[in-house]
Amino acid sequence: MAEVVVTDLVKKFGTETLAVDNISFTVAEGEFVTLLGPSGCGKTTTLRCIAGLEIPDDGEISIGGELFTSGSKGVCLPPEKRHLGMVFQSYAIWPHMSVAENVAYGLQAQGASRNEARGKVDKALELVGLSGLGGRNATKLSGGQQQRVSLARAVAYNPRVLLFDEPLSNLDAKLRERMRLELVNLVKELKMTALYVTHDQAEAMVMSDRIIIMKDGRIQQVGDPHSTYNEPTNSFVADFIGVTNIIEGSAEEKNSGGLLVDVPKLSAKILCGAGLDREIGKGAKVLVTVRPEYIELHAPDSDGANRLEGVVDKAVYLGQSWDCLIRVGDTDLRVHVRGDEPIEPGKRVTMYILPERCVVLKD
Amino acid sequence: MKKYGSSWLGMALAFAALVGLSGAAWAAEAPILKSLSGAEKARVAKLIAGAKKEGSFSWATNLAPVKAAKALEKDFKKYYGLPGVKFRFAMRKSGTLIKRFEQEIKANKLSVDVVVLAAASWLHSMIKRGNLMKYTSPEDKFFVPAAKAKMNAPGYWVADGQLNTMAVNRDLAGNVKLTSWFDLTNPKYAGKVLVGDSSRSETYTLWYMGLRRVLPKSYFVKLNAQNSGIMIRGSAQRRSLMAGEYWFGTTIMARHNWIAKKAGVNMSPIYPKEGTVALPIGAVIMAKAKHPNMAKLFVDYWRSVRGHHKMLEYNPLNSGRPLPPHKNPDINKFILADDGIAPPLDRINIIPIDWGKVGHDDVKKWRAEFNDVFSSAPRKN
Amino acid sequence: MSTESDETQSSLKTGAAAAQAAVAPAPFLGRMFNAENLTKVGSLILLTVLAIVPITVYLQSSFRVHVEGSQLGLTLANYVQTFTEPKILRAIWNTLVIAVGTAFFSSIVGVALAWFHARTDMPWRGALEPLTLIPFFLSSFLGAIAWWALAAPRIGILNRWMIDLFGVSTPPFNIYSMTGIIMVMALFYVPYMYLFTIGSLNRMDPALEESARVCGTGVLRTALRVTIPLSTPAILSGAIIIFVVSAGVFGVPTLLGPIARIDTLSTVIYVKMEEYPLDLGGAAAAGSVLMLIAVIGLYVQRKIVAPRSYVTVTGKGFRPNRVMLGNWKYAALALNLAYIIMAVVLPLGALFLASINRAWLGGFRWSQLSFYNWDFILFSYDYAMDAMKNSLMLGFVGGFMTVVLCTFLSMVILRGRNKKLSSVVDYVATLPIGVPGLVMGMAFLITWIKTPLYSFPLFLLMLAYMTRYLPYGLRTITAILQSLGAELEESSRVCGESFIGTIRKVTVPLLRPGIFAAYLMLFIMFIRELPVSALLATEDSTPMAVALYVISENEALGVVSAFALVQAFILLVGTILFRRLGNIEKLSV
Repeated sequence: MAEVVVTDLVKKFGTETLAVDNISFTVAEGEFVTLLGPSGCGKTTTLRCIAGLEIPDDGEISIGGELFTSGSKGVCLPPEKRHLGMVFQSYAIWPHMSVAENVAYGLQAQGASRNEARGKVDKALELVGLSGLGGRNATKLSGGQQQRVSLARAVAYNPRVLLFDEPLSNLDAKLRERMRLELVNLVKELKMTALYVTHDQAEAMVMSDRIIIMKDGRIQQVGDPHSTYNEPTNSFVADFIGVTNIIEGSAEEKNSGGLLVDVPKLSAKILCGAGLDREIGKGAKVLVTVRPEYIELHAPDSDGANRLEGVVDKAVYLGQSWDCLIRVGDTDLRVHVRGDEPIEPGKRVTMYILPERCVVLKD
Repeated sequence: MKKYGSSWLGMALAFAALVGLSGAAWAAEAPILKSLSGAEKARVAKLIAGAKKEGSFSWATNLAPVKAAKALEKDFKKYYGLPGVKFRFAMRKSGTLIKRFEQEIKANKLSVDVVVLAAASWLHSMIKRGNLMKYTSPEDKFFVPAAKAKMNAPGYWVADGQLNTMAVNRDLAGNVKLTSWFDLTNPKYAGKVLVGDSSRSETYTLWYMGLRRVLPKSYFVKLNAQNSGIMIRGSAQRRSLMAGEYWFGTTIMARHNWIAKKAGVNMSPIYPKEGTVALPIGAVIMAKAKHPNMAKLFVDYWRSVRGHHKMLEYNPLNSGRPLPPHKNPDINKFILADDGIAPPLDRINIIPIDWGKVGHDDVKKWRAEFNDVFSSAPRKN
Repeated sequence: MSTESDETQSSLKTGAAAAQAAVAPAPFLGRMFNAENLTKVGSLILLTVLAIVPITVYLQSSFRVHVEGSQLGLTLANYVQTFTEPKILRAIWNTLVIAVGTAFFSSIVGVALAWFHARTDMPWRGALEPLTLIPFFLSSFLGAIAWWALAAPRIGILNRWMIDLFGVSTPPFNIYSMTGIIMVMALFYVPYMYLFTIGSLNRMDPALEESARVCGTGVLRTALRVTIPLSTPAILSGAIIIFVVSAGVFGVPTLLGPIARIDTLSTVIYVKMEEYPLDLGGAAAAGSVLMLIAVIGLYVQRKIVAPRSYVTVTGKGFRPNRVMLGNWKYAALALNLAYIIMAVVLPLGALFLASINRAWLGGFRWSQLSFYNWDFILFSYDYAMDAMKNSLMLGFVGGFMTVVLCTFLSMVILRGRNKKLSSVVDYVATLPIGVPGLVMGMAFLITWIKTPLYSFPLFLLMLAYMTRYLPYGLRTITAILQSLGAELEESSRVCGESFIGTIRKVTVPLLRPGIFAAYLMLFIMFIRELPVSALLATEDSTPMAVALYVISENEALGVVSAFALVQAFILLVGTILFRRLGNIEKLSV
């Protein structure tokens, strides 16, 4: 049992700054959860509280039923008693030790015998694809290899939970993409519970079972990659994950197809099929988001809602699609158009916004 | 037998001999007692008996180098039949010793029995505060020259003199005749005279104060105008005179002439006719001395001819009592003769100063004048 | 819940258990009494005892007027005197000029030399390093004597040479001047700067420099724009310490100042401390100027350094490379050699010549050739040998204890979670450099004489040295710790290693160059310390510096020179030993 339960966690820096503002979440056994957010959102602080590197001001953290930290009960286990594994952004490879010594460190600290440790070190190095490099000076390896050492070190002693603090952000783009998949595969193969911190939404999407999006010390949304992408709850989440259009409007009537929203800036009415799990009064101001790929240039002939006329302002060819800015009235809409048919700026177009992809936000 | 054939055996034998000898010496009557009789013999014998019980002794001074202290200790132990007494000794600047003992007295942890210091104002203050033990040694009556110069504090100490006086490097200056302080203001010696820095040293301030009783302020103004050098440490002045940077010192202690002479530089003291300032060196017993018997015996010894002679073998000291010739003719010639490094005070014109009345205000006053006179170096040429 | 109430009930039955439960709940105790807190609290207590107590004594005495045997009530008289008496004000001004000059010149040369040794391919580095450090082995006082022999206007060897060889009419060098004083001090403080900065330069990731080179910056510009600024904490620490300490030095101005009528704060303090009645209040008030300078310096340093990150060693590791200077490496070599000639060859040469002349007549004389001085020091003077033993003991043991304490304190300062506590500790531990040695000795005496420790003078000396030199060790180690990423320690904790274990296995090995540099520096300073030792040492515990003082009073220059050279030799051997032990070379490669 290695379920992570965080309850009402609060961490202040100094007297003023609330780094983590009363957050609660759980990570289920074997789950890969990512804390995602811009820098300063409190995600790293949360992770460090779980690791025991920061002492929270209030709230409780328990893993596998064991209470690690509790503000009210005055409990705070030191990091070394928590039996966790952690991979740091800067790898934190000890320059005075060889690769094998680095990996064996945790094993020895937790009381493994020399022989036992040797076997596990070899196994861990094999897992991360560094077999035979144990004798090398860790600092003489490349960045990617160093991060693998760091990973091997964290998994070698089979910790209850693996913590990752932006482990890939120091690597170059290509390597980063490859490592994402390797890392997830490894964690899944070992059936470990993992909590991963990153500011890179693509990374979060690719790797996570669930994503916890944070801002200013608070949780904005929790969900699997699909739902966070397709059903953001507020404009921050919508904007932070992927590219999107956010449109202001006022609610009109609700029908079976969804909520009809009047958008004066586009001189159009838009039917929104998602984000309707709350009461919205008629005339209420609402924000609607729609991803660029859900706006199509081939509108059905029928007149009515979700149909817009515009002029192509800019168009950039991305390989499998065109990224266009299309001017409607006095606003620009971002539209992704599949295919490689040329799209010239200045061209008049008719667009159709898929109603089921229009999400009414909660702010 | 090979010379170092059996070092272990040799050491064992030597050890046995040492134990035997010291045991014998401890048991036999002390040599000093043989020369005494009557009440004095009984008094000293009683002190020796008491000293044996005390078993140790601690003294401190700003005068005697470690070698001198060791020699005094050895001779004292032999003469008083006290080979087993443990001696502790410290040689430091007088300021350092005073600081330490003042604090020890305050904390009631005095670690010293006898102090031998040329620090009259402190010693007098110690009397005032009841920190010195009253003790009159049979030797005291001989310190007539010191008494004449008002250097003694009867019942507490009789003084020898620390003379900071004129000195000349004869290797450079030749055999010029120097009899007066005014000889140094001779224009041909401009830039060749070295003065102790009164602005930074109490000793030199007292020297200045003393000399001002016989010399006008204008004398010092002239010394300054003649581009005289100023230095603080006695050792620095000695180095400078030896190296020929300057030819004439004005505040040189006997010890420094002696060190120079031993190294082969003919540096001699001059006692000008106007007079010389002698700071009293008192050997005093602390009121709370833990080893009073030892302290009294040691003070007896220090003040005796034998003690003075022993000291002179290692360190020159202007004796406050007339001294008979030393058994070592070199010392007679080198130190005790009229043109030696440290003749007894009866042969020197000492400026009498009532040391009991000299306080810190005097030091401040005369230092201010010295600062005024020597505040700026004259322009070259 | 039920277990808790059960416990409460049962504890009511037994008084002892009730008391226990009343004190604190077990988890709280568990949180407080772990190795981490105990170590931190322990080092804070030690810091309090070592530094705060004597400094409090010192500060409170500055508000009192001392008269024979006692002191009067609280007063500002001492401060009024310090800041109104023209002589003292002049002295303060002179002191500032000397201290600025000394800190400036020794920083420039010291940093340049440290950079050559740590980061460039200058030839003969290994051989030159111990030579570069030699001036540090002598006290600046001995340096002043040596330079007197070299450059006194009338008798200086160099002046005579210039006159004889080049027919110069007037002596070109005058050591009795502000310039002379600053030069002697700067030469002797260069190794301080070197030791302060070498550690952080050694541990710097060359990628930081290389990236600058890639951007098209030249070698020199890279050094000035990247390398040196990245070492700012170390350099600033060093400069501030040299500034404050050189302001407090009295050996040099005492010897070289009076002829030019140059008064300094240290000589003012010296006079106040050496007379009776002792003017401790006046000395402390005058000395508080030094302490103020120290505090301001530290404040400035924290303001400049704190907002930026100086982490140059991260867990990423690096491939150490040296900067290739090309032909410039000979220029670097020339500068280093010039320094060694000025600060080592000339002064030590002068002392050596003096040591083989029976009397020093202002220059080497064949007629005076004699081995008396060497024979005296090496074979017929037990006192000197005993003193060496005491000093070596104090240097090795005391230095070690100080380094341990400094390591823990720097952890509290840089890794502590409580920022206020960190800065308080930083200030308190730095204050002792602002206390002149003479006054520090007195404060120590006043404090410790009331305790049974007074009966153990050697131990007492060690404590006093620890106090006096704590800031030096601390600055050196914090400068390095500042460059060490905290995650290196954190990852060890997460791996399951305890606080102490982490220090032992990660922090200390990574800090090793800094720790050994600090240890070496402390070892040398302990052995050279004079003013506190003179006051506190007894006959049995006399250290070498006091023996040297006693000898300088009672023997001619030759003996002093021989002893000084012996001391320099011992410290040189010690340095080489430290380098071996610390594997400093291996780590810097």
